[in-house]
This record gives sequence, C-alpha cells and structure tokens, in this order.
Amino acid sequence: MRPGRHEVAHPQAANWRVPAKLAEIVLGTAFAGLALFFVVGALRLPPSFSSADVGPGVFPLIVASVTLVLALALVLRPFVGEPSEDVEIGRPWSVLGMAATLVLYVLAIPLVGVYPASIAFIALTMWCGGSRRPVFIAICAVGFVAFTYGCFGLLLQVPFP
Amino acid sequence: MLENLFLGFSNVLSPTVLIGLTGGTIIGYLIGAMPGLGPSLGVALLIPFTYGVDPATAIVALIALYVAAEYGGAVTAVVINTPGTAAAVATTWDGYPLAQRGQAGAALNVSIIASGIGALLAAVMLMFTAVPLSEFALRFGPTEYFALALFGLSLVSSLSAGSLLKGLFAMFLGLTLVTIGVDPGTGIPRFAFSPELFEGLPLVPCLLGLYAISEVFYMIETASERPVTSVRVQGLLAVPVRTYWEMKSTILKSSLIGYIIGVIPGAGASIASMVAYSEAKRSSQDPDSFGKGNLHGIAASESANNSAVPGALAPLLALGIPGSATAAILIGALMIQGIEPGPLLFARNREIPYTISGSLIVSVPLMIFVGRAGAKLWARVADVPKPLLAAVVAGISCIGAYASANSMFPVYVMLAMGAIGYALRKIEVPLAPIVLALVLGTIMETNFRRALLTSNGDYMIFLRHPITLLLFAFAAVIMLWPLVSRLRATRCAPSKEASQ
Repeated sequence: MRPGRHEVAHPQAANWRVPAKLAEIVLGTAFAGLALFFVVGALRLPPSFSSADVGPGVFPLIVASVTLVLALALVLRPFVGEPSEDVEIGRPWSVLGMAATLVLYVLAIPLVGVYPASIAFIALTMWCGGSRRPVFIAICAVGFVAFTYGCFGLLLQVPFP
Repeated sequence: MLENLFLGFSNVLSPTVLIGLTGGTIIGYLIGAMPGLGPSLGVALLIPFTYGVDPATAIVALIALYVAAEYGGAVTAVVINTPGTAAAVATTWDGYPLAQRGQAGAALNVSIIASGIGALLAAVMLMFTAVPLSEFALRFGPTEYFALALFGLSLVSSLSAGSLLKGLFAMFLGLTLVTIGVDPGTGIPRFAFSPELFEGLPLVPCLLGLYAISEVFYMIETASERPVTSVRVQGLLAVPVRTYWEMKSTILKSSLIGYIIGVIPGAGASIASMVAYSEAKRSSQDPDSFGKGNLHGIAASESANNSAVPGALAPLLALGIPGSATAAILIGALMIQGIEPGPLLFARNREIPYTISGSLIVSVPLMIFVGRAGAKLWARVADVPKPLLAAVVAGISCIGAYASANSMFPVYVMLAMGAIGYALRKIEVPLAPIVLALVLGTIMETNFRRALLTSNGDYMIFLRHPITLLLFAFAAVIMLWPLVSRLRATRCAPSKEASQ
C-alpha cells in the first residue's frame, strides 16, 4: 500500500496523557451523580395502584442503586485494584475540533438546512482529520451530499430541514 | 416446514430482497475489510437506510452485511496482517505468512470458500434448530421470559474482556437508561422531561452514538498514522479442488464448532474461530506448520467465524435473546420494523425467520462470487483515508438519527450517547453490555412485574417453574465462569512458581 496519498505528512501533535486513576475517579463520580439523580427520581415516583404490582419506581430504584454502587466502585478501584493503563488522547486539538464541528453541524441543520450544513461539516471534519487537499475535500463533500440526497431525500423521502 | 421454507425462498428471490441481499453483502465486505469498523458498527449505520423499506428486505440486507463483514475481516488479516474484525485474528496467523510468500491469492481464496461452506452449513443447522427451539419457548410465561432476559444479560461477563466490574457497570447503566419513558405498567412518565422521551430513549440514535460517533473520535485520533504496507494479491484462482477436498474434515468440524459456539450467548465468532483453530491444530498431523502459513488454519478460522453468525441468530429468532452484540443491534432493527423476535415470531411473522434462513443460503454463492470478483478491491479498502471515513461515518450517523423520527431530538440523543461512549471506551468500559441492556431491559422489567401480578405479589413464583430455575442456573454459570477461571488461574500461578 502506498503511504496515505490524501493526507499531509505533518508531525504528530503531542498526545494528552491522563492518569488512569484520575480518569476513573472523574468519570466514576460523574456517573455516580447520574445514578443518584435516577435514584432520587425513582423514590419520588408514586406507588402502584395495585397491591400486586411493585409500581413504576421499584425497577428504576433497584437498577439505579446498583449503578450508583458500581460507579462508586469504579471511583475506589484505582486505590484497591490493579492499576489500569493511562488514558491517552491522540491529536487532542483535532479531537476537540471534531467535537466542536459536530456540535456546530447539529446546531446548523435547522438553521441553514441539512445539505449546506453537510458540505461544511464534511470539509471541516476532513480538515480536522488531517486532510489538506482542498480539491479532494470539495469532491468528497459534494459527493457525500449527492449520496445522502439520493438515498434519504429521493429514495426514502425524508423531509429534511 | 417445507411450505414455510418455500415461502422463505420465494421471498428471497423477489427483486427488492435480492437487491437488499446484494447491497448488504457488498457493504459488509467493505465494512469488514476496514480495520476498526466491525459488523456492529456496520449494522448500526445501515439501519437508517432501512426506514420505509419492507421488513423482509431490511432484515435480509442487515444480516447479509453481518455475514459479509465477518468474512471481510479476513481480507486485511491476510494482506496487511491486521484483522478487520476481532473474529479474524486467527486468520492472520496463517494468512499473512502465506501473503508474504506471494500466496495472498490462495489464502484469500481458501478463506472465501471456507467462509461460504461454513455459512451454508450453519444456515441449514439454523433451520433445523430454531423452529423446535421456538416451539419449546411457546410454553414460556412471564417468569421464564424474565429469566431468559436475565440469561441474555449474563453474557455481559463474556463481553467484558478486561474487568467484570466495568462490564457490570455498563450493563446497569444501560438498564437505568432504559427506564426513561412512560412506565409500561401504569402509564406514569419516568424521567421523561420532554414529550419526545415518553417512548423512551430512541434505540437507533443510541446505537449510532455509542458505536459510530465514539469510533469517529478514535479515527480522528489516529488519522495521521501512515497506513501499513500491504502485499499484492496474485493467483486468486490458483487453489486446486483437491486442496479443498483435503480440508473437508477441518471445514466440517470447524463449521459445527462455530455454530454451537455462536448459539451460546456472548461466546460469538471470535471465540468460535479461536476454538476451531486450536482444534484444527491439535488434530493436524503437522501442527508445527500452523502459524507459518497452513491453509487448514485459515479454513478452520474462517469457516468457524462465519458459521457462528447463523448460530447467533438461532437464540435471536427463537427466543428473542441476542447471541452477540451485533445480534442485539439486529433485535433493535427488527423492533423498528414492528417485529418482535421470539417464539411468537414463528406464529405471527413466519415469513421473516424463513426468509432469513433462505437468504443465508442464497447469500453463500453471492458472497463467494462477490468475494472473489472484488478481492483486489477489498484488499485496497484499508487504503481509504481515515479523515474521509470519519466524515462519512459521522455525517451518515447524524442524518440517520434525524431520519429515524424526522426530528432533531434523536440527533441530540446520538451526540450525548457518542460522548458517553467515547468517555467509557477511554476507561475501557465495554459498550456491548449497554446495548444488550437497552434491548433486554424492557422485556426484563415487564415480565418481572407481570409475573408478580399473576402471583398476587408472591416472589416465590420465580422459584416454582423448572425452566425458570434452569435459566437462572445457566445465567449464574455464564456470569460466574470468568470469575471462577480467574480464581483458578491465580491459585495455579503460585504453585507453578513454587514448582519452578
């Protein structure tokens, strides 16, 4: 295979390395918060009308409580269990750029319509991915829009904004 | 049964279903041949294209993609020493050494034919096992269905390759998320702060977020990595029939192994190919040649991983329980089409399971033809620039999520699930248990409450039915087996060290 013809061989940006302990504590705490929200919500649900039925709150209460316990176990795991490998994020600025592009695309669809937004989205995503050939990017963006228009617009008749 | 089979085959031979079958096969090859894009992501991405298409065509296209993607993984395994799917790892061991010796064409040819034979034999086995299984399951009541859902969820232990804690966390997170929406028993909204959430979290956007959007971020992370060097594909047709004849017992045995392992929830194509490879090596007269370019190794791995796909469809069709993560996504696709998999499927929509069985058989010659005709193209698929791939996957996901309800709300759900999926993958939390829980959670809760209603709130009802108890026991064995194996391994380790 030839080396990537469509990509510019630019130097690899420094990766971000997050200690596994920190990543598991932060995400474990975030998910514990989410589970706690469900536990509190389940406790506030009204009881069942029938004495035989456990009611709408019992199943969510059980599963959210177990999720809460497991999320807390994730927080505590780095202190008692085997250490995990550090979390590495490659090309972090490109990943952040991709996330921003995705959010902007979703916000732009209702405002400018799906097809114009898609052209800009494909171009920006390819640029975030490291592609630097404007003609190739333009062909891909137009090709993608033509493909989606054919499949979703004409064949499936999806009413896009 | 013959009448139903005839109905299935006549459905498959209708023009729209044939188009779906061919399209699914070609897309499956492309997806499977791209390292990083597995059958799960492929099926999730294809679902939006099936809205408005008749159920038989949609399901046949999705299953054709699933089968072809398992084969497509062998292409990059042979030509660039990188398995396109996890199930093709064993294929690299003999495929790449052969390719380095200039025999990539022979390796690909054997993998295509062995895959085809494996899929064909397994499709026949599916027809003869799914129907009796579904007839048996017609006796099931709510306690059995609750136990069945629990049994399906128990495969979380095998889907959690690293840590069981993380797998269980993912499963319970999925079960928590599935409680969003109107309560099926009382009609009271639960955690539904917007009317769009009354029907619960939309499944397809969740799948697209978890599998596709999280993968897009990984593609962006590695987009600047230079592609690995592949070898040229020569002599695709240069394998004499005699060679296949010599491999007949390997292919037959591996197909049987693949099907049986495929039926077991969670075991799947990856384990099937490994077990079949080990068995082929063990029973070979020349075991030392395995790993150095033995065609029997490729045949064993490929026939097993392809026969595991119909195997995974047996519990899906007959019991409504997925045999693999991709099968869980297929259940979602069936539900979108208004079809509930399980024993009643054979009574209410009998054309669906028989069309699927028929399509698996018809797809074999098609898969072999497409595989051989496009071998050089599949080998070049890994050359597609990652930035383009990331853009297309993300774009189709957003548009597909919108098309699922003609609204922006599913797109927001997809973005949120994409962020959750990416974050969880970073700390090595598996995503498959979340999908499994999203599919089985409602069945579990509904039947749990239905069972209690019929018993007037007596929890002992779950211990009175023998099938329920048997399913609980199976679930416990599947769930605890990895823990027991790990404990045995840690106990054996010090004694081995002492003996050394």
